[in-house]
Amino acid sequence: MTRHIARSAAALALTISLTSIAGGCLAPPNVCRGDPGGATPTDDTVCDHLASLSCLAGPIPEFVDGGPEVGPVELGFDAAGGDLRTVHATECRAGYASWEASVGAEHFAALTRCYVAARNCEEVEACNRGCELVLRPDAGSADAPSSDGGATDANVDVGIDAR
Amino acid sequence: MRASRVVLFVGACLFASVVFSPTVVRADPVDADEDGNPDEVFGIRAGADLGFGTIERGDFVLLDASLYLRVWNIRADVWAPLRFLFDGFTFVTEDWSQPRDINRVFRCVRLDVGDYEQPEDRYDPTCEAYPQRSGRGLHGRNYFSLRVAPIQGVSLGHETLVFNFRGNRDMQRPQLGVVSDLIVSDWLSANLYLDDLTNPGVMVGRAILRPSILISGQSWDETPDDFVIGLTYAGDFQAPLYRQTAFGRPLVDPGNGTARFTRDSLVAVGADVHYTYYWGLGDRTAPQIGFMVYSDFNAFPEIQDAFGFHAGLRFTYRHEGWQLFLGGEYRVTGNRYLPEYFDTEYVSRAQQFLLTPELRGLPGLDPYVTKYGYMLSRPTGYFHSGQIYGNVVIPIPIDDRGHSSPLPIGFFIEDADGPANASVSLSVGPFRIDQLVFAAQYLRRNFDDWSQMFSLEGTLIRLLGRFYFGPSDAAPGSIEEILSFVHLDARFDRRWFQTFEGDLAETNDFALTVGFTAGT
Repeated sequence: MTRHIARSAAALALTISLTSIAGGCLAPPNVCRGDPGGATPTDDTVCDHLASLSCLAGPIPEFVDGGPEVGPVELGFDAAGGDLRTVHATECRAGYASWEASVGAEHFAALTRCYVAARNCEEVEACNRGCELVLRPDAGSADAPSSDGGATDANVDVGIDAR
Repeated sequence: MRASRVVLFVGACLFASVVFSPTVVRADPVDADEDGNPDEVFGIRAGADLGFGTIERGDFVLLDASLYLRVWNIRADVWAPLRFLFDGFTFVTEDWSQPRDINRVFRCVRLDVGDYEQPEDRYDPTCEAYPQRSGRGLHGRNYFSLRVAPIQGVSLGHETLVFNFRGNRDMQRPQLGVVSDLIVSDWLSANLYLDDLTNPGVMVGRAILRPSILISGQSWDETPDDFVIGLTYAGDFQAPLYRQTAFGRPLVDPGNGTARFTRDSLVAVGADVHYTYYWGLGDRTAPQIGFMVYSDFNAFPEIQDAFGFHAGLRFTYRHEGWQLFLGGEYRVTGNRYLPEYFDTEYVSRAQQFLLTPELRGLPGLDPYVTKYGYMLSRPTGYFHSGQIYGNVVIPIPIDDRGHSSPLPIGFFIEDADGPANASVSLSVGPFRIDQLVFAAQYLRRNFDDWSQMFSLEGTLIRLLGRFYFGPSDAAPGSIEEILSFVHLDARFDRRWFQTFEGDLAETNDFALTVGFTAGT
């Protein structure tokens, strides 16, 4: 928290001094740029690796066009863990197949290699960000989110600072 | 194991409620509040509630044990809110599965020092700062209050940055926050709020200064003019920046079934001034009419074009307890500035911003975009917008001696260039009289068509109240005294909750309980 308070104080000082509004200085780990190349990992490889990181994929909710209904909501108290892993196995493979069909082969290979190289969920997400403009399926795809996701301004701090 | 501890704890509370409820502990006479009557150093009250609730689309039997304890000016209101599945009467152990859940028993723990009106020794669901002591001058008031309680209804200054903020989606099973208030005579006051004691995220605070009082010793309510300078801070140490996904599928933490986010800190600062001039001061029989001009400048300094400049004019009328103000506000805001960023829905929208049909219809947005991410995704530049707002305080008579209790009712309507920028809010209360405490709120954000301002989809509605069946000053031994120990609690909360898959869905929570408390 001390770090954040210091950061907040620095931000306040920036404002008071009326200096130009500056962006952050952290850059996202752009894993795709350092992609060594190679074969495209299989869906089992990718999905098992994500599961080993506890990065479990859930279903696309109802607010995404084409996604499954949330439906009657189960309390799910005792379902955390085991059921989520079952859901992950299905959803991750469905997502793999969907994106394989809608993303260029070269970029899809880079993305899946990035997923397999990731060491935590933040890095998995960074794979999406690093390759954002070329890897996402087209907007309007029945089974995937739109292509414009989040920050696109290079001056904006998109650093990964998970706590 | 944990469940057995909880049951043991509840049993202890119930035992305490039986054993201690008739106990009145008295100490040497002290008259700290100078009301001519000796103060009781200790106060205690205990009881239990039983009722029914529909929470996050599940039906439950609700059983609460409560204990109120005061030692001098330290007050601790603790409870054990227990849920049992209505179908099968199974205890919901998941409410207490995390170590920090035990904090939840502290419903409102507080230390108040200085000049304040001593309240009754009983549960106050608002856990707000106490008003000044009646019959005392306003200008000498020094007061400090430190409270640990779930954060709700926090508004700061002109409410341009922090508006009715609450720290939990689910107020039935909240985590505790920290609140502090400081008043130094008339010239300085400060507030600080932390949303979660054990996992701090949002911290907001404000300080105001009345320099004319400090420099020239004027009394702001006895001179026609009132000039105030304010500074506001609002930050989220762990604001969700991106919903983590793989192949477009949202990622879920198997440990607790919550959505995974890449987080970053987010800081906003604000400076504001206002000047009010009153006519009619000095004549208590005449209405006081005032005009306020004010200006706020807020900015998220780390984000380009996330600033808001607000200039407003407010008409004020005060007479015999009635207060009315109506105002209009003109805004020049950066494209990446969202008004009242830290509002009642912040906890939900920070995770998933596209919660209304109008927002979901916007082209080119990631459906998982967070509030922070949405802000960043907007183009640079600035635009003009406005807000109309009002507030009326109605003095509700509470006795035959001319005393009244204020009932505040406030609203705002705002809109801006661009789609899905209209918002409307209505707040009533919190209102307290002897037998009744209640508050209500309606908030609908990000719609286009004003005919949809009362649409329920994506709208937050909250009602809560407590009613005592008898007056607190009932004659000892009377039936009214017994009735004063019995209360009815009702809560309704139309809000968002996180589903098993980590996404947000709407719920209409409702709880009705009947309880009994007895004590000093």
